Amino acid sequence: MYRLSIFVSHSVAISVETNRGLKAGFSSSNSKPHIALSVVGFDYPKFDIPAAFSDHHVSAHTSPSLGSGSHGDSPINQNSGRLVKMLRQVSSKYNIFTSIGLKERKSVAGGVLANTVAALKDNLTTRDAPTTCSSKILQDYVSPFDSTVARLLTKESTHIVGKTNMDEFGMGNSSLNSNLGPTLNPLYRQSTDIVEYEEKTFWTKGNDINEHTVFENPQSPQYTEHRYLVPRLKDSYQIDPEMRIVGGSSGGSAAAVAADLVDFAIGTDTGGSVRLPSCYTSIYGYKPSYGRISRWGLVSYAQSLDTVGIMSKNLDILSNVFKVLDHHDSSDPTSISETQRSRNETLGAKIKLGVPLEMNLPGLDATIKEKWHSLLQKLQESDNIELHTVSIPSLVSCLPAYYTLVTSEASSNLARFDGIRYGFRSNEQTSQEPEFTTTRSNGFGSEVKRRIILGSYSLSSYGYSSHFMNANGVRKTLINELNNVFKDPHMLDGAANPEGVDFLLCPTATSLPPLVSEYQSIKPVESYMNDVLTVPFSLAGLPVLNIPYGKSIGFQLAGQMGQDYKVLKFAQLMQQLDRKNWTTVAKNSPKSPKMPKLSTMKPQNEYFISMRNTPNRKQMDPLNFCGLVKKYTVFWGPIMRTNPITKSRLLIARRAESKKVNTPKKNSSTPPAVNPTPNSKGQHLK
Amino acid sequence: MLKVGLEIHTQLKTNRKLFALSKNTTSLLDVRPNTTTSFFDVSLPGTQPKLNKEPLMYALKTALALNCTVKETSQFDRKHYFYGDQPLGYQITQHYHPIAKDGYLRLTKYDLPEEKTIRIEQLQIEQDTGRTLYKLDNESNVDFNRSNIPLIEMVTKPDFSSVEEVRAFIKKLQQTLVNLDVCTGELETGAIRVDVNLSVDDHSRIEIKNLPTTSAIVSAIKYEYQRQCNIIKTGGAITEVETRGWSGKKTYKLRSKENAIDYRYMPDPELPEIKLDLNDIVPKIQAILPPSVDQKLDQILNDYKIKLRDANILMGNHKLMDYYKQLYNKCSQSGVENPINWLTHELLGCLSKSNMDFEPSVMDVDKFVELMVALKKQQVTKNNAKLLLMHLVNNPQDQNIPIAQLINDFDLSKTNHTETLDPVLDQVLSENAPVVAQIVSGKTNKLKYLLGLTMRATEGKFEPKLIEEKLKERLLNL
Repeated sequence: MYRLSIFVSHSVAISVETNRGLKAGFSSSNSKPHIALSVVGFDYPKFDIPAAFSDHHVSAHTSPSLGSGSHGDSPINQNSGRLVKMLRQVSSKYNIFTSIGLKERKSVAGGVLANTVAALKDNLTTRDAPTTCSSKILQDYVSPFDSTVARLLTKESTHIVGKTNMDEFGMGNSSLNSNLGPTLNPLYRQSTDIVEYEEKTFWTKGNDINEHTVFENPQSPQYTEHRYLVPRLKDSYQIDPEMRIVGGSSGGSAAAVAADLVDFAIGTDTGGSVRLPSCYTSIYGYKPSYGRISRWGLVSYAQSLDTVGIMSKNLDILSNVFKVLDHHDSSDPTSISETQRSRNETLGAKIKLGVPLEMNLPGLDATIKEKWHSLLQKLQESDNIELHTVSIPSLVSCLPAYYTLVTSEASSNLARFDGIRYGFRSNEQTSQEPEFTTTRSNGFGSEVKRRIILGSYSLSSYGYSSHFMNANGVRKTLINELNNVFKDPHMLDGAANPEGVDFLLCPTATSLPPLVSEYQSIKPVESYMNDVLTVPFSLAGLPVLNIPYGKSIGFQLAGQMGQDYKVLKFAQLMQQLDRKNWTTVAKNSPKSPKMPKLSTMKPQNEYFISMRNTPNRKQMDPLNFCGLVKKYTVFWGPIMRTNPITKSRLLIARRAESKKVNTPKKNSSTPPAVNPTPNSKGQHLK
Repeated sequence: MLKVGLEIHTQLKTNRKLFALSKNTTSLLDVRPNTTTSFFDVSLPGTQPKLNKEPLMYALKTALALNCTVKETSQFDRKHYFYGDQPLGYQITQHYHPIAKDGYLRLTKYDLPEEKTIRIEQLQIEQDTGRTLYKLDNESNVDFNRSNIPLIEMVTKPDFSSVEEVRAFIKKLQQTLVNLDVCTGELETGAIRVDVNLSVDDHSRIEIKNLPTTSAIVSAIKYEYQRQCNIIKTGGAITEVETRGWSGKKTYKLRSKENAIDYRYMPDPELPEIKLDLNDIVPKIQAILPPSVDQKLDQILNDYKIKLRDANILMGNHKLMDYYKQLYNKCSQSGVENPINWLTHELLGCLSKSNMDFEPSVMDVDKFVELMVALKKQQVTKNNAKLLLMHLVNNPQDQNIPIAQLINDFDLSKTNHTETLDPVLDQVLSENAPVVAQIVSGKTNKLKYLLGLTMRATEGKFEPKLIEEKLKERLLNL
C-alpha cells in the first residue's frame, strides 16, 4: 500500500539499468492505478487512491444527463453541455480526446482569443485535468502547475475543452501507440464507436493541487469539483477497413481541428508530430522556430527538438495564437530572449522559393509528386515568386541522425518515471530491486520501451562516439548548410547567404496516409520512414508550416530560424494566389477565406455540426494582403534541374538557362516531369 | 609504494538550490522532510532546470582559491543511474567540459613537516541527490530537501604518498572552504564527502567510497594498504579495478569492473553552455577573495603569539576568530595576558561537555574579561574560575551578575588563611597513612594524590601551590 505520508517508501534500492529493466516481463499487471498529486508550493505530498477508485472507477454514473442543461440553467452552460455532447459523440468514433473537461464555460470578455475553443495535446500540463501523455505510467496524474501555453491561452480567453490523444510520450507518427487506444482520421468514415466515455471527478480545496486534493466526495463546500470525461476502449471494437491513420504524434489535436470540434489545437512537434497529422487531416499545422514558445509544462520527449505547435483550419486564428504564445519565458532555459525574436514579416518584392532536390525522393508517391508539381506551377504564375532548386546534401543523413538523438534524449528524459514520486507504480516488490523494473516494464508501451533501449545503446560507452556524436555532427552540418541556403540571418548566430532563398517548399509526407491495417503490419523501424521529410527542419529548429493541398496531402513551407512571421505571411499570400484551386478555401465564399471549409470532402458532415456558439471573428485582425502582389503574370521557370547537384551551395538557375530546360509556358497541358530517378548519389535516402 | 588520489564533494551553502529557486537548507538539521522542494527538485513532468548565478559564483571563488584555470565555456552533462533518491534518473554534472581544471593546493609548514603541493585535476559543478533514510523491513523513506543542492566535485591527481598528507590536505581544504565562506566544511554532516582512490606499487586502482570522517578515511587507507601489501607479498597481484566500501573496521567489495555502471553520459540538451568573459570576471572575483589560509595564519601567529594548534582552531570558525580578537583586545587593555587557552581549551571544552555549538552569545565577552581579571587579581583560583565559566555558559541569565558577587554567592573566593587548611591536612594525612608511608619511603609522586584530596576537601579555595608547600612541610616534619 502507498502511505499517506510526505515520505515515499520503497525497498532498499539497487541501481537498475534501463535495458535490464526492460528485458523483464512485459506482461501487463492488474495493479491498482494511483494518482500522485505531487507538489504544492514547496511542500511535497504523495497520495493514496481510495480503493473505490480502481480501474473501473466511474464516479456515480456515466452521466447521461450531459448537455441536458442539468448543470445550470444559464445559456452558457447549455452551450457547454451541447459542446460536450458534440465532442463526446465525435470522439467516441475517432477517439480524439484523452479527457474532456466538464467545467462551466466562463463568459469571457475581451482577450485576443475570446470566444475561441481549443484543445491541448495531453503532454502539456494543466491543473484541472490529468496530464497522461497517453501513457499508463502517468495514468491519472494531475499536475500541480499549468504549462505556460495553457496559462497564456486561458489569459486570452480561449476555452480549452479537453486534452487530446497522442502517441505515447510523442513517440510515433500514427497516433496508434496510445495507452487509450488509437486516434482515427476524421477525413475517413468510421461507422462504429471505438471508445466509451466515463465521468471522473476529483476535488481540490482552493485552486491548488495539494495534499487536500481528494478523489472521494469530501461533502464540503470548501472544495471545488473538477469533473472530466475519459475514454475507455471498447472490449471489441472495429476499425473500418478503409480507415487511414491520422498521423502523429499530435493525432488527437489534428483530428479535433479536422472534425471542426475546435477552432485550433495545440500540438507538439519533435520530428514532425504537428506537421504530419496536419497533412493527413488537411489542416494548417505550424511548428515555430525552436525556443519561441515556452516548453514549461511540456513533458519532455527530446527537448533539444521539442517545439510547441499550433493547428487550425484558419491561418488567421493560427497566426493570432502564435502571437499570443510568442513570448520569452524565464522558466524555460531554452526560451529565446525577447531581443533575439524577430517579428518582421515584410516580404521582399521578389520572393525566392527553394525546392530541395534531396527531398525529391525516389520513393515519393506519384500523387504527391503530381500535386507538388501543380503547386509549384501555380506559384510560378506570380512574377513575384521565383523558384530555385536547392541542394542540401546532409538531408539524406537526417533520418538516422534524428532517430539517434531523439531516442538518446528520450531514454534520459523518461528515466524519471520510476513510480516513486508520482504516476503508476507496479507494487510488485522483489528483494532484488525496488520495483523500478516492474513499474517501467508495465507502465510504458512497447514503442516507448523500444526507443528507450535504442537510446540507451546510443548513449552507452559503446555507442556514444559512434552514434550519438556522429548524429550531432550531422545536425551541425545540416544547420551550416541551411544557413548557406537562406537569405535571412539565423536568429541566434546571424549566419546567412545574401544570395539565398526566402523559403523552402517540399511535401510533408511521402505518400497518402497508410491504411490503419497496412500500418499495423509493417515493422516499427519501417514506420520511421514516414518522418523522412519532416525531421530535417526539426533538427535545424526552423519554422515550418504544413499547408494543406488536397485530401490528406500537404506541403511544408520552411523559413530560416527566427523568421516565423515571414512564413505565416507568405502562407497567407499563397492562400490568396490560388483561391479557386485552394481546397481549403470555400469556393462560394471568396470574401471570407477566414472560414475555410474542407469543401472537397464532407465525409462526416452529419457529425461535424459547427459548434461555434458565438461568432468570434470580430476581434481578429483583418486579412488583407491584396496590396502586396500587384499583378499576377505568369512566368514559367525551372522547377528542377536535371543535372545532379552535389555541392551544398545554393544554385540559382538563371531564367534564360532554365527556359531551355523547361520549355512549356503558360497553358501547357503537360507540366514538366520531375526527374524520377536522379543520378546523384546524394539524392537517395539510404 | 602507496599512491592516493581523492575525489571530494563539497556542498555549497548558497541561499537557493542549483537549478531551482527552492531554499538550500542543507546546514539546517531541523527542517521537515520534503518541505524545501520545488517542482523541479522532485522532477515533476514538464519542469526544466534553470541555473542560478549564486552557486556559479561560489564555484568560481573556490576554483580561483585552488589556483585552477577557469574555462571560458563549460557545459552540463547528464550522468544516468537509477536510485530511489535520484529523482531525475540522472544527475546533472559536468563530465565533458568542467568549469575549471588544473589547480593545486599547497601544503605548507603549517600543515606538514615537509612542504608538498597536491595538484587538482578538475573541478565541476553538480547536483546533490535526495537523502534515503533507511528503515527496517526493506523500506526506506526519501527526503528530497537535499535534492538539487549545489555541489562542487574536485578530483586530485594521485599525489599523496602517505596518510599524513591526506589528513593534512583534508584539513587544509576544510579551512580554505570555510575561509571562502562557501561551505560549512563539516565532514560529519556530509557537507564534505571524500572518496579515496588508492594503488600500491602501480597495481590497479581501488576506489573506496562512503567514508564519513577523517579518521575513517585514514583508517580505510591504512587497512587497504595493508590488505594489498599482503596480497602482493604472497605473490598475488591487484589486477582488477574495483570499488570498495568501508564498514568501520575493514573495506569490502562493492562492485568490480564487470558490473560497473555505464553512466551513459550525455550533454544536457536544454541547459545552455556557461560562457564567461574571463578577462572581466576573473580579476573581479580575485579582488573579493579573502587572504589565503596561510596568509591569515602568518598574521595571527605573528600578531597574537599563539600556538599553531590554537590558530588552526580559530581558522575553522569565523565567529570564534572574531570573538578571540575582541577578547584579546579587551584582555590586553585590562592587563590580562593572552586568553587563548581559556578560549580554545576551557570555553570550547565547556561547550563540548554541554553539547553546545560556539556562538558569540554563549559567553558575553565583557563577562569573560571580568572573569579573567578576577583570576589575575587572585580573587579566585584557576579551578574555581573554570567552574564559574561552566556555570555561566549553562546559565546565561547569571552573566548579568558581577563576577565578584558570583564568587561570593558560590563561596569560591580564594583564600590564604592557612588556619582553615591545617585541620584538613591533618585529616588527610591521618586517613591515608599507607600513602604517607610510601611517600616517606621515596615514592614522591604519590604526593599529587594527597594534593588532590586536599583540594577537593577545601573546594578549590586554595592555590594548589600553597597546599603542596604545606603538605611538603608537614611530610618533612613527620
